[in-house]
Amino acid sequence: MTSGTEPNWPRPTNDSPMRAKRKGTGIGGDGLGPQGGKSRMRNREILSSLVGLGLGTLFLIGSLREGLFRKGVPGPGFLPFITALALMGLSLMVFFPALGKKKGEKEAVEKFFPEKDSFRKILLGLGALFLYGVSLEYLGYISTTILFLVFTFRLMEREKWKGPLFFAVSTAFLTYLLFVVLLEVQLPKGVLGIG
Amino acid sequence: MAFGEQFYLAFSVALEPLNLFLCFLGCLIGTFVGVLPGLGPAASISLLLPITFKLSPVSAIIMLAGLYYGTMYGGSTTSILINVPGEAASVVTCLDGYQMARKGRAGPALGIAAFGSFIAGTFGTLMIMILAPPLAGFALKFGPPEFVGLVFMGLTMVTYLSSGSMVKALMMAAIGLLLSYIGVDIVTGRERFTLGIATIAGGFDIVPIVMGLFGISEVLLNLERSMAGREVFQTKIEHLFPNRRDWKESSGSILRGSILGFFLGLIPGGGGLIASFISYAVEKKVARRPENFGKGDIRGVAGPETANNAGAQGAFIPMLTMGVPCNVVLAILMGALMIHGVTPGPRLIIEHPVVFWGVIGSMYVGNAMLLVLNLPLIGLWVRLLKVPYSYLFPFIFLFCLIGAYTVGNNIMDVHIMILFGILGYLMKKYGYEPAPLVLAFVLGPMFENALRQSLIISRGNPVIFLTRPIAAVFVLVALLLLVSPLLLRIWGKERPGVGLKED
Repeated sequence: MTSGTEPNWPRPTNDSPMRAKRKGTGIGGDGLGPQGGKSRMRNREILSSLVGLGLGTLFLIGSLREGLFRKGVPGPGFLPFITALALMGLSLMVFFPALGKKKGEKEAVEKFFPEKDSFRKILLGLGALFLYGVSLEYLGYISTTILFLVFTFRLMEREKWKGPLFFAVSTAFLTYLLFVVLLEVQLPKGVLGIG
Repeated sequence: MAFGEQFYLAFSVALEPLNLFLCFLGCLIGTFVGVLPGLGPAASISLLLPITFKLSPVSAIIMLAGLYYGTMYGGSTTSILINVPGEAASVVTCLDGYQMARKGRAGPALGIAAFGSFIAGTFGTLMIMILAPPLAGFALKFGPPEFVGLVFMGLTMVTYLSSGSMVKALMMAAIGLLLSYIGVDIVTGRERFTLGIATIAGGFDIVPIVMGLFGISEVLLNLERSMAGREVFQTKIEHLFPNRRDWKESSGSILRGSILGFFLGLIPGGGGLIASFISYAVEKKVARRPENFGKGDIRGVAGPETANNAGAQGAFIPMLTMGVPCNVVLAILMGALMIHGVTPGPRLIIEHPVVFWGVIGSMYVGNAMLLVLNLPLIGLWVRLLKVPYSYLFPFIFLFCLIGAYTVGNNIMDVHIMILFGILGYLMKKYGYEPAPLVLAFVLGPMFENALRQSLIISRGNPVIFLTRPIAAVFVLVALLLLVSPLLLRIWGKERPGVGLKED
């Protein structure tokens, strides 16, 4: 997984079956070449281990407040305390080796956003999901779904209007039939009550 | 119950019209999901979970189980025709399957994959029938300390067999456990770690977590890349029924794949993926002329495709007999049973014989259905591959949204799902696997409960896990697995899981 133009799903080539292996630890000057940035994996490992350390600390404090023991037997904070401690220890096992790596070491690690357009697509995709969650109970299932689908369909193919609109409307009604009429699942009707 | 009676019960449940239809539906959707790259069984089972709420427990699990083993059939199609595995367990099928297709032998490749899967699926189901009842009887003797040992060993094994760094996998397991503690403490009834947020007072629900980690994040990862370059190999698909020479060549592989796959399926962290990889390695080793592998050897398709089906079948045993799911899909299936008020474990066969034997009966029926779905209808699935991703992902998003909402009719679950979607996306980028997190999350409450009960029995003395023989064996195996990466590094070898990668 080093080339930025490949689709994301695993794609072994004919000659190297295990090419995709060890994605998480693909470090070292193995000729795969750096892709612009330096120390990418190092920074990622340092950052992620710090997040783990922080999370562990929060739970550690929380578990101490819950109380480790009650009447001589483990209380509600006992196992969380041990787990949090383990998480912190493990995070340090990622942190220190990463810190020990040389800064300029060449890596075969992909850029965070593989393509120029990636960030925009991710942001719009997440935005659509978030807005769906926000407006579902106000606009109701059918209206929100149509808006959501038109938006997401056009996210990839920006020129077209007719196809996305047709698919959005028919999908919204068909899924409404399936879930609400057939399976009797409750979906919000919205403030106007039109679904 | 006599064997004949069990058979009768199994088929009388499985052949009820509604169950028959649901089994078919599960297999159909499973094949669909298997064929489509970029959507795995874990996410799709959680998508269908809300649909099953209205059904009886046995009908629900019949459909969801059908979906799971159905994906194992469908996955080979894309591997063979476009060199892209439909799901992770078919990665190795690409090697020889695609080469066979390029030589004009796509038909026999698809055929042997389907027949091998059928043989393995049927064999696996038969083995469940034979092995599950005595295993459940054995597991009935387990007290809390044994259960603690079992879960501890299971979680360690999952991280040991994970693809990337074991330390990172253990971190994920720890985070999964921590997440499972959030909510009401089972023993004291007090709220823990909720920060006063009402939505999570009862703890997180598994459905939004799985949908986020496996559904949303997967779409995001596909979304950020342009989808050019997916081409269906242009070939006539003929001779789906492998000829006598094909059968002769691959019969050994099918036999080995079935047995190997089944037993690898029993291991926590095992299942279809590892079974297929190991089967390929074994086939290459026992072959008289291994240099043919990678150039379109039918054994390289027959072995792994058989093994992943047998593995998927074997994976049901620990969940059904001990209440310990050994991969994410089984964890969701277990969650589904529990939503319906059926607790998987040693008492399942005795307390819910209809559920247990009904699922088994449906597996025989489902495997036969899948053979029909996959062979004569192959053209349909190939056409499906031409649906552009830009039309597909909005549907996956939509089903995730509906699924998360309908679990508890609560909009907060939708936001939790999106949050876990972002988390899953970041985890992939940073080299962390979501599977240990989900398994630890599912096993967390049971693990903690059993641990505290054990320590109440022993009045706080942890030696109880070493003085009871069965528990001691589990704990020792776990400790061995934990230190073995260090030993292996000293000897200059790698863990078996390192070569695997699940996307």
